[in-house]
Amino acid sequence: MNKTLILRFRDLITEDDGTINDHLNMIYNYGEVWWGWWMKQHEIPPRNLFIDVFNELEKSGLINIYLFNSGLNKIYKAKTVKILVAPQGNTIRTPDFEKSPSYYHRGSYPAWFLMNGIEEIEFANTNFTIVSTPTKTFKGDFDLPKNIETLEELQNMNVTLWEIATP
Amino acid sequence: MVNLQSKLFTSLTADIDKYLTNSDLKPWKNSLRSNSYAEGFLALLSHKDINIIMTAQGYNTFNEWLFDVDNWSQKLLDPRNEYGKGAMVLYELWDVFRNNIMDAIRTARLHTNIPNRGGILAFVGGLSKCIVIEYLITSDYPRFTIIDVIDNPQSAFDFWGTISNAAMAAKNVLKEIISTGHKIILHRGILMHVDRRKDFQVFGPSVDTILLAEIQAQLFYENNLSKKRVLEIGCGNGLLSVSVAKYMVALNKIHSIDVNFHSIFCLYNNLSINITQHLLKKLDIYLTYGEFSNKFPNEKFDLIICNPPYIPNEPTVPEYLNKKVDYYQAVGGTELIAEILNNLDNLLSDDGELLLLVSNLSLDYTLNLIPYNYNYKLILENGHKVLFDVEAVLKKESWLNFLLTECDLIEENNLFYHNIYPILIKK
Repeated sequence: MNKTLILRFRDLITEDDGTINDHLNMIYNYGEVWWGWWMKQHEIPPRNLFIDVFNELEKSGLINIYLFNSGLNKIYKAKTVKILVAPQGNTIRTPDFEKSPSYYHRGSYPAWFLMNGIEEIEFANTNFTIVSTPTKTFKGDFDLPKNIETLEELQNMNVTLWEIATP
Repeated sequence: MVNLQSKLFTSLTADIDKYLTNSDLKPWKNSLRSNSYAEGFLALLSHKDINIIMTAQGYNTFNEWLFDVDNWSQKLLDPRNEYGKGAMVLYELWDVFRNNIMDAIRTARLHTNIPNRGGILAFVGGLSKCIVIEYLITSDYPRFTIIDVIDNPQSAFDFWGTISNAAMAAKNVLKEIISTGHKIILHRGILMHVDRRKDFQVFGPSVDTILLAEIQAQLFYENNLSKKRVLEIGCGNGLLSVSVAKYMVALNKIHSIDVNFHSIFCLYNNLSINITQHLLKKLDIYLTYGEFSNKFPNEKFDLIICNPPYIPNEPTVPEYLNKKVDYYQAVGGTELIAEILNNLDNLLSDDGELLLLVSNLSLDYTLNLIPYNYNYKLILENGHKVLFDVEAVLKKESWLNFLLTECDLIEENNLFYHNIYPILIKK
């Protein structure tokens, strides 16, 4: 079992699929792109989980993180090579303006992931188990660990980040 | 370091104190981010625990930290690392500074012809530091590198002094920056651009102007004091007028006048860089090209700002020449000072104030001209020591000797210095 993350997003500012297309354009042009993780107001950044990601990246140089478009119910695999985390209680602007889509530029986010590949995957071919929802400050209405049967299940959970196990 | 202990400074310092004793840093962050004139560097550099804060980050001095700031912030963004006392103050300060520079260059690019690669002199910490920055525009957002930090800059042209002391790589960058002919200065969120190739004989921004801008910020904006009608006489590049237009919240009208047409054009450009269209439409802005000569018979101002020529001419210079040099080269002569002080009753509203900058070379002369019904205050009791690098004087031995023997020009190690004095005059 490998542990990794799913990050939630929606095409709120762009047209449908615009978020992923903008990131793919950056990868095409620069070889990599920064993904800003946006969280809901009630969430807290999972510092310990990010430390695990840091350690894993130091060991293996690359991990797969999953991106879930909750508006279109699509899921993507993103090859991630670096992560930067804002100091406790803070948010940071993009580490590299050139390598991040322009809609990020005015905003400030709790963590940034540097990715060099993003591809859509068939949910039916995955077998994800939610290990924790570490951004939550309250107990959820489901028991963990939990197998994800459908993407609607993720959609209905009021969080933007899941710690998952993959086979 | 210029520090008038303004209200904002006091509150920023109190916020650092609270944070260092484990309280929230949000008020400090809000103050910095909501007022682009706010100067976190001043609060930090004046703070009693500055050495403790730097040591906790592994640096001996503030400058050492600034040179290594990119590496330092990368470490800070690794969640495995513990950060020492004051790290968040430094991080916030750096983030705001970095964002201000990037935003300023982006906006400047839309309105002027600044080159894709160039240098900026950023004056921070109550003029205690001049940060020399190289920027490079390859996309929407510029990249920049800190080349040097000049402590207590005594001239806005300290580029040259920096070149002789800089490491070889920095030396070359600095030479390239100078060769572009563009002078770009950043002070309290305002970016001033002078293109030396077309802004002929536009004065400044000299260290005098930057000192006055710093005084304006600490005296007025940081104490929430605002004026409705402001006049700047001899606006030069326009830093003081731009700053008033941007930061004086109650301002209705600003009138700026200069004898050099290029100065007026330069000020217009710098207003476009720094002031939003919305604000420009809201304000009455008058830019006048011509001599001051008491042009405002029916108008009174709540604040007059002036950085006049203040170097006394040799007694042998005929009066007509005195005035000509005074007005058109912004170098020698003290006629403009006399003209303004003689007309204070006509120019100032009842509670109006004149913020004037003179040198120790002409201080007594100026104080003697202040009308009996006005009071004055030397804002910096001992003045602010700066390099005296006025070429016209240095080239004329008799004038230089006159200033050395009769006017207390200071000579140290073959360089000349004088003290400049901002004076506030009111009834």
